[in-house]
Amino acid sequence: MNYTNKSFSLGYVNTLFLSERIEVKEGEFLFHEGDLNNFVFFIIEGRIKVVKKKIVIGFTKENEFVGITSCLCENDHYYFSALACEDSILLKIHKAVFKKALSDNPEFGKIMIEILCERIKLTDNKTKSFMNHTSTERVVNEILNHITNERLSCQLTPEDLSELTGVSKKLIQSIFKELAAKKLIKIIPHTIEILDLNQLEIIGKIV
Amino acid sequence: MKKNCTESPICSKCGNTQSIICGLNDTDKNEISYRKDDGIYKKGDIIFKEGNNAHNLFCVHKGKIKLSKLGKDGKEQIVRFAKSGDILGYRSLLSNEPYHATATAMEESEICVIPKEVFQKIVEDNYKLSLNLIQLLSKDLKSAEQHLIDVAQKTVRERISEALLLLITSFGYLADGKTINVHMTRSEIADLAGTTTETTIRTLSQLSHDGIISLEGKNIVITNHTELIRNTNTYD
Repeated sequence: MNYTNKSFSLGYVNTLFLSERIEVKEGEFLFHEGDLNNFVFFIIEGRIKVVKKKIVIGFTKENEFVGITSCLCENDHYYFSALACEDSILLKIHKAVFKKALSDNPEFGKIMIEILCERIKLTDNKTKSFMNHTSTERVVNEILNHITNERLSCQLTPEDLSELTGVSKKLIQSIFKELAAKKLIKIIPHTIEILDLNQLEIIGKIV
Repeated sequence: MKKNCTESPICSKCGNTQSIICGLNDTDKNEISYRKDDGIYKKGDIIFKEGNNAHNLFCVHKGKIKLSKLGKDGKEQIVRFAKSGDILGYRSLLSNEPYHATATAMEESEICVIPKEVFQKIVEDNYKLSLNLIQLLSKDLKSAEQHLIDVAQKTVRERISEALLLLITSFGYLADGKTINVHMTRSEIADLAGTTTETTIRTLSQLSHDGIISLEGKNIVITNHTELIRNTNTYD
């Protein structure tokens, strides 16, 4: 789930505030849940995963902000963790600078409203999906969402799927066995190969 | 059934202070008071329906409202509550989308109905209101994300404990300081916690047996608040 389709250009962001440019490697944390939330980050290049209690809440990509809600909710601490899915380059903006830019620029505020509305909608949709789908349906849906078209395969690990669906790794392994026994998928190292796409879509109740 | 109040409260004399409308200047408040409509909704009346086009902002003058979405097999899923001073429908108006949930009166409620164009003009002209809306939306996003985590990870007992805490946060206690200030059916608590009515009845009985709550007719009395929090498995 990408957080939103609404984004800013780097040129526009540079006009709003002075900031520090940082690089993070794949797998490196920008911040942990509970850290003091002194900064907001803008992604110039790369992709950041937002995680709370081992559940992926969403992904943020180039030209998007990370950490804005912790900042805007008047808490002192980040209420989620953010880590890089790939090597990334970001702007690091002090919270006070971000808030001042928001106060001084109505156009910026207007886009921020749109972004927050869209993120709420995507989060609600994901919650609704969790409530309305069984564990098997959720796992199958995430596999289908991450298929690479050319080879009809998916690179998600059981850990990835656990984070994306909220289903335990143990149960995911059981689901894999069940789907493999029905000859719908084949598990090879680091890859899930799709053997029967149509049947998987029926199981995932694709709407 | 909605009927108009014979004397509708004007914004400057409303008595509520928590609404973001309260922070507007007198000119904007007067414009809202002049253009708004008012209604009394009885328990069970629908104020707006999920999926309908959003034409109005609603400000709760008095009463208690539940917001719900339709889930699988037509089952209702309660997403949040609103009380005096809360506004409803703002997200749909800001994003130009249909209403995202259905709003239903949980008891007799007085609601001020503000036309979309009035609200949008005031947001356009009043940046301080926009900033307040940004903060409100941020809190909503934080709640939505926490709800996602709860649904994904928490056991039924934890989710029902969380639901009770949400009721306390939304509506507070009666004068005795321990009885939750709202009546909800077991089915409604089930809708809030994302489980079945049968499981909810069983779990509430267990919580009562463990001395955490006491069930007195329609009232739920919190007898051990600390233990209730521990049962939500939340350590924020």
